[in-house]
Amino acid sequence: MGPSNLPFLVELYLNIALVYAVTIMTSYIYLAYLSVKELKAYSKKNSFENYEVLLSSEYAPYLSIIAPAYNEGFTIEENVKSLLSLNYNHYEVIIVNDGSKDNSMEILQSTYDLIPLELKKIGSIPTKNVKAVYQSQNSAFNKLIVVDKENGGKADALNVGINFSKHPYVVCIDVDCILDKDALLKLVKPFMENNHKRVIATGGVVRIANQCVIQDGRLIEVNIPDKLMPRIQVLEYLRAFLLGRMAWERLDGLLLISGAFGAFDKEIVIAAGGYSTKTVGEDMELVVRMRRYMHERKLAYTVSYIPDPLCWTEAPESMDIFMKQRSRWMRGTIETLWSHRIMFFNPKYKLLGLVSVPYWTFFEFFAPLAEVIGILATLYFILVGMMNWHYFFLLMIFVYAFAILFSILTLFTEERTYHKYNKINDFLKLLAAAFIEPFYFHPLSVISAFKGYIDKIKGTHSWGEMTRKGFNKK
Amino acid sequence: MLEYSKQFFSDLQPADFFIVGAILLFTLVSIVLFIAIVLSRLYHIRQAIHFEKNTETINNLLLEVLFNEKSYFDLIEDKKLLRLFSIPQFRAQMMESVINLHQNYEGEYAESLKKFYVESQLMADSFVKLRDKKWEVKCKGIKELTEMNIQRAYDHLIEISKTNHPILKINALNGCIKINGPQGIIHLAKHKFTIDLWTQLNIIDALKKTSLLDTQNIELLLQAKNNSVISLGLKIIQTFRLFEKQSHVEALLQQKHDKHILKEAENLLATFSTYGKEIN
Repeated sequence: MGPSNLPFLVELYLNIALVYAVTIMTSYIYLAYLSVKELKAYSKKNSFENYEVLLSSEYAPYLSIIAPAYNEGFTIEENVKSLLSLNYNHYEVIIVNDGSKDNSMEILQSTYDLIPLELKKIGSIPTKNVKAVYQSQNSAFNKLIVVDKENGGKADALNVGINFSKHPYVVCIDVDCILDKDALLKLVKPFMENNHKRVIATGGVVRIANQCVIQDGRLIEVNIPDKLMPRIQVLEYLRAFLLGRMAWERLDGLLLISGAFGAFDKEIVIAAGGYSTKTVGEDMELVVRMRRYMHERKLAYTVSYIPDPLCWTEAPESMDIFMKQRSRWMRGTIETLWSHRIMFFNPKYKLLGLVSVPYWTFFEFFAPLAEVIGILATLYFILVGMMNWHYFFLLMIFVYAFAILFSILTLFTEERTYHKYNKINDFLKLLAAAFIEPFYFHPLSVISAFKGYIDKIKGTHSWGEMTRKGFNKK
Repeated sequence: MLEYSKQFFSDLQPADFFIVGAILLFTLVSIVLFIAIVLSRLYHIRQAIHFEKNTETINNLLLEVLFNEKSYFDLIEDKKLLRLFSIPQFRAQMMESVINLHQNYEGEYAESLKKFYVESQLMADSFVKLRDKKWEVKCKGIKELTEMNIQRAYDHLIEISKTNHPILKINALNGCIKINGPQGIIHLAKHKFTIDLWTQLNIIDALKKTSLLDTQNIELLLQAKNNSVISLGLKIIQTFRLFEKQSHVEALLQQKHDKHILKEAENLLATFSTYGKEIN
């Protein structure tokens, strides 16, 4: 290839970049449009619902909350108490101690007065060995079951919880999440609503709790994080949950229910084989596998999604932990898409095969790679002196303007729906974060995702330590 | 600057035009959205101020109705109040206050509020809402009329409850129950749409709250062709321990039915049998 071809190549490269950017932007705008429509419909409906009906009814569905715990000694006492005091009658809480190296088990035993229990597992998902099962002697904690097991990872711990759960629906959560008091009331409703399609899973919105004030395991004051890293994640989560997943729910193409908070039809979970221990993206993988299971058997089903802010979690504040988390997310995406590659553009799976899986492949898996290729190509063109600076800057401003627009649209949607960040200062902080994000947070996300590709190629399978700082308490 | 702009635009290629156009559009929409957020906040602040102002007036007015036996016609002798009554926002807030207050009062006080509701044409407003095309407006009308126990609304509610819209159906059936107790759902025996579990639980909850306990003919639900209605009937019989309907449940078991229905009926009889033993 001679140097005479270079201007043409630069032109071609920039045009491909433009087409790719325009395609992503169009899809974002379309998804945002669907999300806003769905959110409006949901808010309208929700204002006429009386969730307390479930509190007094003997027919309210029975649930098992499953919370895996690994080295959570610092917060486990309070977190379990908060799980035991949710607004719902028909539920049990199964804490699965996944071979913690700290004093989590001792704390649970002494706080909840646990005694060993002869409890046979009901489910049949293969798991690591269970050392013992405990129940509280104190009748105030009679909803609590603690399973102590060998370390096997989050997916294995969840499978153990599923095997020991008594009830037809399982709610899988992260033990360190703060749940809204009415979280179960709202999460269970979709399972009771649809007669023509079986609701196999319901997901809920996860929001960032850094700097928020927590009292007795409940969130009582919403604040914007002081640090830039978690602050931008507030914006990122709002975008993903309010303007992304609502649209996929409307299209019935949702592939991911966050591992931090989701409810599942246990019969289908077990039939599909439970959580996969072979991936670090077990939450997405399970939803895709359950969907595949239903599709392949031609069973009518749907996956539901609740936009109410019901679950609050702590976002990583340090760059190191953030990068580990995002690298793991990318590995999880790669593993899930690869395991279910048969669905890719496969008309047999309808919208799932023709839209959802290709969308995730091109815009979630491939986007960071495209950006890295873009950066390398740009550097090369600069080095050989062939860069079309005029076009390059135009493209940069084009992408930046869109990023700002999309973030402001997210803030507008939040403003018109849940309005959780009602202080003017908080709103301005989020607005400022939107302007900074493309220069600071986005490159970091791309590097982390790229690290995920490399880790996957190297065969890394670990989660990596996810140190938490703990919430502000009152 | 102008020269530069002219030069800039004259140098643009077709693709550049698209990009520059898009940048301008994105910027413009961003500014519009930002202004919309600011206006939305200002609107809410203004609404809150108006609400505060109206609340004071409405509270004084309703105190007069409740404790000084003033009628609507006495009150509108004050021209200022008459003018206020013609403002839709004030009427809406007034409606809300009257309904909320009515939930907390019984006897004479409740009657005074009902009288005010009728005389002030708030009741007419509620009936207009029933005819609205939007389901959420209909729901509001239903809530208002049933809270005030307006018997005249019953036939409208029966008609509305035949809808396939789940929330409207729940509200209409709750209204029917509030006005006419368990008899308000007998017409469901001919209901053609599926009544999901959520709706069923709402109906049972409404029945629990009603003071009217005439369960005569409730067994007609067991003769419905719609399985979800039969299921609702079984749940009502179980929830309210209607032992006198046991023979109808046994008869249901003799018929050809969906296996879920038969299981539910068997469970109901088993519960009754256990409950009977406990009593003995």
